[in-house]
Amino acid sequence: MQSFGAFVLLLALVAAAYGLLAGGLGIWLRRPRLLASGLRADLATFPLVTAAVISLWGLILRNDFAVAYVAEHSNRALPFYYKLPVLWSGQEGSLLFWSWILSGYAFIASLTSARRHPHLRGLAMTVLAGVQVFFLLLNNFAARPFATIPVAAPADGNGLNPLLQYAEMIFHPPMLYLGYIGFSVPFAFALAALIRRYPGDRWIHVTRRWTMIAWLFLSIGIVLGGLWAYTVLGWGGYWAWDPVENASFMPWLMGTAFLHSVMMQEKRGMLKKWNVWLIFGAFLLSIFGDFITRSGLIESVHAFAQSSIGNWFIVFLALLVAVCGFAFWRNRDFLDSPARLESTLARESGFLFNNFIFLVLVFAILWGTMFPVLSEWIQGQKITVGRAFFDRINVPVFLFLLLLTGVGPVLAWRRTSAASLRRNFLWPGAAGAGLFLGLWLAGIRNPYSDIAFALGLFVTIIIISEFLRGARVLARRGGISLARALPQLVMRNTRRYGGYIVHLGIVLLFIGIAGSGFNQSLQAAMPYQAHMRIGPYTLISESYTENDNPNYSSRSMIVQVDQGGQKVATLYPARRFYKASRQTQSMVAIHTTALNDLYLVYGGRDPQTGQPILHAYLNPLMIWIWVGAIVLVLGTLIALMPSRMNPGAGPALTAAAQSAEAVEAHS
Amino acid sequence: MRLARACNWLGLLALLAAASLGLRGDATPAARYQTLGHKLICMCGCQQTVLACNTPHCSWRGQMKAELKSDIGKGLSDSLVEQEFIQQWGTLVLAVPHQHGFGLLAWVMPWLAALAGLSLLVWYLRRGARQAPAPAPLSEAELERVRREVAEQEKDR
Repeated sequence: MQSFGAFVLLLALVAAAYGLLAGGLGIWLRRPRLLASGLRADLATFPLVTAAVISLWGLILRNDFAVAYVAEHSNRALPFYYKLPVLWSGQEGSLLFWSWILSGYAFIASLTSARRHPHLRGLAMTVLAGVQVFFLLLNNFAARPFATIPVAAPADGNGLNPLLQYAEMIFHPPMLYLGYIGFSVPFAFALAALIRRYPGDRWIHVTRRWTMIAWLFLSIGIVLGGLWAYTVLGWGGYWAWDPVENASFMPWLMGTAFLHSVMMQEKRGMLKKWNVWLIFGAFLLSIFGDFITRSGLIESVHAFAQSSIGNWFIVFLALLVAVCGFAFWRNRDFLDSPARLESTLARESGFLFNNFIFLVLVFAILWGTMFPVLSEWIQGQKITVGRAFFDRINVPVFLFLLLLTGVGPVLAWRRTSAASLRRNFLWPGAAGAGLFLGLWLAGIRNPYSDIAFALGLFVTIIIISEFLRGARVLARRGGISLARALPQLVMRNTRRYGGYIVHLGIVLLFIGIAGSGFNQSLQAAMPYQAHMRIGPYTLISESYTENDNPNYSSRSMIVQVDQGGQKVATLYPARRFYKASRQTQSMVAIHTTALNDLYLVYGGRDPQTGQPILHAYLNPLMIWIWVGAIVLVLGTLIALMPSRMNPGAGPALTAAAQSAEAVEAHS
Repeated sequence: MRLARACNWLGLLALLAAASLGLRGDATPAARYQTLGHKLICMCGCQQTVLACNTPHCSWRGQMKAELKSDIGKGLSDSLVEQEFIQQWGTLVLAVPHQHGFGLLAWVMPWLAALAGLSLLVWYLRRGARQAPAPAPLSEAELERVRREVAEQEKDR
């Protein structure tokens, strides 16, 4: 199976390289048959890489420790369900996983674009074949997942890193990879459209749609990563501005900027050059993120071991920048736009400010991430850039972005009057200011958090009034209830109202994040029947328990949680010792309510007294981060659905829908 | 135009006001321990601050905490405490760069980039507004349609 895996992986490289060469030559020499054969080779790459992936999984399941990757990352006692993430737990396997997802995306993109974008398909698939060749070169020569151990196979493997033995780790990396790699498809279509000078704006629709898919997966991946950090790492937080976290966040920000500014191209034919560079940027940042994670350039809890693979990435990134720059320079006139801004107070300027903020965030995060490397190069001494730096720089910028989330959607295209601004913003603004004052007077004082709560209310009121305004028109004209009109309104313009739902999700996320301004934490020795008070809770150390199985042994504290004299929960914070890897790992215990999370970490025994140590954290409003993420995903799914002008309504409702559309266009 | 200019300035002021929030100092030894403990990175490789490190059996955290307590107890100022740690472990021990020397560049660059971007944006918006043609007057039929739609909308509010 090992030889078969290595063989099909090599065949996949040959197929992808043929797809690149035949596709490129077919387009250049105008030989349709050569291009068609290249496209068939591209399609063949997916089943070949799939066969390689199945082979590696087979080797992992069979505990074939003659294969170095299996010996390094798995062991006999590892439960079946954790053998799945072994595929992406190490450098070689995760690169194979990357190639697999890329080939899957290329396969789907090739099939779906054959009828809709036949003239763009050839070059777009050739670009994807180029990206695929790079990763398959890595799989075959730089990070070989099927390499065998030169000496006799060990009786057992080193086991999976304990940090990865959690349910979140089964889903988080695939989602993240689907996001990262997903940006390859819009990149390929944008580059192909630029090189071919593809007429019209149809290419921008396919690019936007694929970007939304990648963005959706990346969003899910980032949130699951936060959930993993929160429930596994045991420091009470979910985001530490770690370089690898930043690496995933930068393409997300760039993709978000693109999804906003692309509307200006679709509605007004503006910002074509800007949009092309945004989508190039999102893809380049995803490759850059992969580079810093794998090269050992930066230190991170998530990074793979240091290796020479970084040199491959540097060459590839340089090549990509050169290709993008050259294609843009040759065809820049194709992206000229006759449309001009008509007023500084219009939705267009709102989008420009939005893009400006996203770009400032990308720059600040990139700068902070790379500053330690830069300082070492220039000064010879590494300067750490930790969480406090990113918080201090980014939090005010994020608050400004939250403000724009409310302002942007109610600005009219082309020109907005001062009267319209007053009408739309007076009450939401007054409500937000009132909430800020109320919180401050009530003694709930944290400037950034209070501003975030106030802006959250401001944005929510604006979004809800947008929904109500449209639904009222539909309800009155169609003679239906408001409750029936609302879903029809959403289905009539899924992109617009799906976008508003995404914004509501963002507001909830901000509220959850703002809660961290009021976090509390305590640490104490907790002998039998000892008490600890934190926030509204009293914690009582009840007992201890031990457990042993072939994979790990564990020791748990049993903590009773009382609130107002009533028992509300029993929590079991634990510590596990994984036998194969000989590593210890904390198992966090969390009691969640709508207002706060009680988060307990068993800190082991005090070396002097032998008493168990308990770390307790009270994290207000945490649940709203996860709820916000679910709302965001829901909104994106709605935005991806096709709009229906007449969702099961009669002729009267259709007329009402058209009329409401006309009114909205002027509002 | 005046309104637009006012909005630009308001945006800039909001950004700067938000940036300047949250600057406050702590004085008691316990508060200083908390503040400084979150400014120093634990040397075990966890990339967390000394007070946040939760690496099992960390051999550095305890020693660093003890040194921090001892330095504060000796009456050393915050900057002297930081210097003590830098002498021992290099600048890597600081969780954030210094606000002087090369470290200052880390703090200043994002704001400089934001300022440059904002200037470009304002220039682009003003240029666009200057070059925009005056809106063409609406025909009587168009005016009637807009009046009708606005009236409809008002009725629905």
